[in-house]
Amino acid sequence: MPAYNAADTGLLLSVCRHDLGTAQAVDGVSIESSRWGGVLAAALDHGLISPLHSYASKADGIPEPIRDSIRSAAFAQAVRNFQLVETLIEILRGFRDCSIEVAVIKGPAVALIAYQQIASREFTDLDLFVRPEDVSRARALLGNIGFRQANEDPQRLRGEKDIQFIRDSDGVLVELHWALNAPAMRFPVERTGIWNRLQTIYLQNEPIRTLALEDTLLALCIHGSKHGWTSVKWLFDIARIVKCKGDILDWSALLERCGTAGCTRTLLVSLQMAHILFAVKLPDAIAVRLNDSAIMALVECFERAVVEGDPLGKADLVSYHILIHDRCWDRFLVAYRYLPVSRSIPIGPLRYIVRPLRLFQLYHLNWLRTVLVGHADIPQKTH
Amino acid sequence: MSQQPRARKDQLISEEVAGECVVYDSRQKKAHHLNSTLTWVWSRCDGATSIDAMAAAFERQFDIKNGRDILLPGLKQLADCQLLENPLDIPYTAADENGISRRAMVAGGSVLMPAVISMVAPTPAAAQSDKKPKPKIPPIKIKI
Repeated sequence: MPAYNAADTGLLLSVCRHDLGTAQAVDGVSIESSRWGGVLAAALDHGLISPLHSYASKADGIPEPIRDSIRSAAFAQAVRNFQLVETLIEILRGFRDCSIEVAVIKGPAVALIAYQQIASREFTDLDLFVRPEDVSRARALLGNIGFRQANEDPQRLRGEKDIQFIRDSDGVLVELHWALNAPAMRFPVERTGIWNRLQTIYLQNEPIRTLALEDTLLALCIHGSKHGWTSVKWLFDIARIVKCKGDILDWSALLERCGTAGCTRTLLVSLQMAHILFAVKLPDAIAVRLNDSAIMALVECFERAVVEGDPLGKADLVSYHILIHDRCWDRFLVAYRYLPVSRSIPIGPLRYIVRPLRLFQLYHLNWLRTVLVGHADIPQKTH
Repeated sequence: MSQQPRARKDQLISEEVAGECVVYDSRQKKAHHLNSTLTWVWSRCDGATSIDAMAAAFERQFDIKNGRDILLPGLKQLADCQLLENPLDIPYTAADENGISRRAMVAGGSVLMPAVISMVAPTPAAAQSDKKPKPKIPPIKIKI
């Protein structure tokens, strides 16, 4: 697989803009034929083979071997997605039989919402979202249909948001989520009433529940931000939703929920990134809020990382994870969690403050939460 | 011919991608990639349209004569892949062992030739094993 450079990524982004209908077609003939290998590599790396295939099926100037490789990759992606969908339908029938309420999030749901097709959006696993109190039953159900827990340490679920399962017979990976983000991320979007807003979409004529359109967009923004936008497909998903569903999206409700969860900055940075890379027009309600130097600085930093193909270093990413929060208190808590307290990293007497706090948090805060809100963040163990 | 081919729907997942159809047959665990001509043919197999009517429509759509010489090999390929519900009685002369006759080649030229690529689908894990793993950003963990 040939490597790719910033120019190849730039060309891929132009192809995506054309696919999205926000820019003129790239003139394939005027591009050196040797460049297309790099564009293909970039598309595979960023999960964007579908727009490239759509372009390559009509454009001139792409060498035949590259065109065949693009076609094969798109075909392979479609088949893989179909296999996962087949398993998903099997799992959802099991959930329905056991009366466990479940929502499909990410991959297949985003494919249907943003692309109206299963084949067009790369996904490699299945993400299911259940209520915290249903996790034990969902776990048992997955066990009954051949899945085993894949987390390294199944008992260490404290502070997590999902459990991973794998089925050895076909290698399908399922992530069972009870929250959209780890508590440490401090984006409590579930508390904005996400379960009451679920929508029904149809997957091969099977009705499935998934997040409302606004919640899907928000979940994509938070997910991409968490991973430092290492995959451009996450931004393309956002651009597609803005372009294709922007008219029916309730922007004011979305901004209100972001205000509650403290993730307005995350939303704005993500939308601005999608605007810069894919030329999608943002609604006025969003555009007026972008006159903020802090937001633009974060956008600039990520734009450089994506376009130049140089992901952020760990220190930059930590600083991004902190600054992406709206509230100072959330920023402080995220920063506090990043504080190293290992003996090998000298932080002086600060350790004697941080350590007891973390011990309290680990062993007592959850107990307190159980008393106050009725359930802990940690699902119960299955025996 | 009065036969009315009907596309199989049961245990199939299919979508059109850039004018070509990708079909996953979960009964056989096989995937098929139909080219644009065969996609056109398969989409017309509604169980109500006769082969003659389909041939006439094919000729109109692609502006050719003897559309039947292309259609019949296409239907044979679909039947061989078990993508049709009802078995078809296609004359041997219309399609040779490879599914494509010389007459069909003359009628449509290579561009319009119906073609299908079939393969036993690898498991999702095997299918993605050649992909470079994405760099994982470690989740924020509480350290003690």
